Amino acid sequence: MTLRLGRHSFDDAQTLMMAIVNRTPDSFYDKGATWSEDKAHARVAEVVAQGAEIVDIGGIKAAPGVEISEAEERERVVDFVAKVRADHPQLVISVDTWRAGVADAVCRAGADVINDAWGGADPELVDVAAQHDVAIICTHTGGVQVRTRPFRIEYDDVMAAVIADTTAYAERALAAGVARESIVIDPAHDFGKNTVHGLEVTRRMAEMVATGWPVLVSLSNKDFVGESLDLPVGERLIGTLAATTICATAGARIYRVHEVVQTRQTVDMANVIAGRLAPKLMIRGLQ
Amino acid sequence: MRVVIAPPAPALLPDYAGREDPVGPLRAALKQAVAWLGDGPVRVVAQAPSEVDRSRGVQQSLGVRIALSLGLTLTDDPSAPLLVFASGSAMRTEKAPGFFDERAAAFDAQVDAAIRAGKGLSDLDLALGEQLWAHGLTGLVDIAGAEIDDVQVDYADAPFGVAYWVARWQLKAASSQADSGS
Repeated sequence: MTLRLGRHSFDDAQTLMMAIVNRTPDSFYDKGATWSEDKAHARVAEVVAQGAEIVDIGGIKAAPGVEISEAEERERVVDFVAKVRADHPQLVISVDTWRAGVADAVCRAGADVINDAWGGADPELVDVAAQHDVAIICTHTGGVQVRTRPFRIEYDDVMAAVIADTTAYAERALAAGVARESIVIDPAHDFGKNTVHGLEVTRRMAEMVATGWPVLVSLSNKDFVGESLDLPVGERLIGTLAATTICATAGARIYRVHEVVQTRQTVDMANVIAGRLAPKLMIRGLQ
Repeated sequence: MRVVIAPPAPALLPDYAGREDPVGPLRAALKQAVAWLGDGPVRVVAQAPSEVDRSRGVQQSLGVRIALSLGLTLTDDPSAPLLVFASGSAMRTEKAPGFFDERAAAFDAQVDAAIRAGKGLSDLDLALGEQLWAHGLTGLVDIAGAEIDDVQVDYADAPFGVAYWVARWQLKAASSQADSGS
């Protein structure tokens, strides 16, 4: 199915890199590296140069911490989105928020995608997406509260729960008037899941792809990678790319990443091996 | 009769197409030259698969496969336009498939002159050509026995250390003694 993210459309087989740009002083990976506005804009320019099709701008870190009011969140992201829109007309702008009010404001400022990392915590988010004809990312959190860590969460069948919840969310978005080609599902590794759950979701990614909804995966430097290898943040790139290979082979479409270049190469290599993408340039033995 | 000379480079086959075309100018020249042959069936002259290739299950020559991939209808009719698949040495540089051989450039220059003159191919040392991994030149030698009215060379280069030509010959004679590779 053609994927439409706000102003931008993409062919069936095309995979997309969604680069993370934090407007936070405390996110787990970059620890505030792009907290200052000029550094955040420089980061956008950098990932665009690296080939990212999408930036995902977030004003609140996912993990628990100081409460950020809606006003503060707007302050962090709305004008920033407007400037990115003006500077990069070809770029897909996604905003990571669970609040309908923030989503509405960023859509007015030029956002193309609402990335609801908290699985529909605010029921009005789908209405905002429909109203602005933007895309929505429907994530699975297992019903946990916004900005909480998973604690003793269990599933009889985690992949069945992920598929049931994300597709139900997708149907809800559709019913609210979001275009079918603008709805994406995301299993949300580490959200409402322990490492065993994250690994099972990765292993069974093909089942999620088989739902027919385009799948976004957010694997980058996450704890399920870190715990699998017992490595801290900062040493998880290779594990991230291994997990990326499995998801790409299964047919995931969008990759939410910190490292654009490495992930693009990994996803392309997996798709070339899978036979979905032709090699870039072949001549060996063919002269 | 019209004759087109083209290299039997597998890179021309759709089976081996990447996202970027390593032989864009060659392919463009070949398409134009083949269009000059007309809309009717063409006779392909190409080196049959080697014994080793046949032992791997390869039945059709590269030339026949390339011609079919271009949408051509093939015939054994000796009066049909000819598409001859031939290439020069594959040893022009250290990166060439056959590594560097100092005799390769001179050999290819001789082939080049003969193609441009429409004659002189019978003077080629085909045994040396074989050592230099040239391909299909025998088919050309046979045709060059005929009188050639006009020659046009569309492409002449060795982009991967392998000598390629796309050329058009207008023959006076209506037929040749070349064997069909189909």
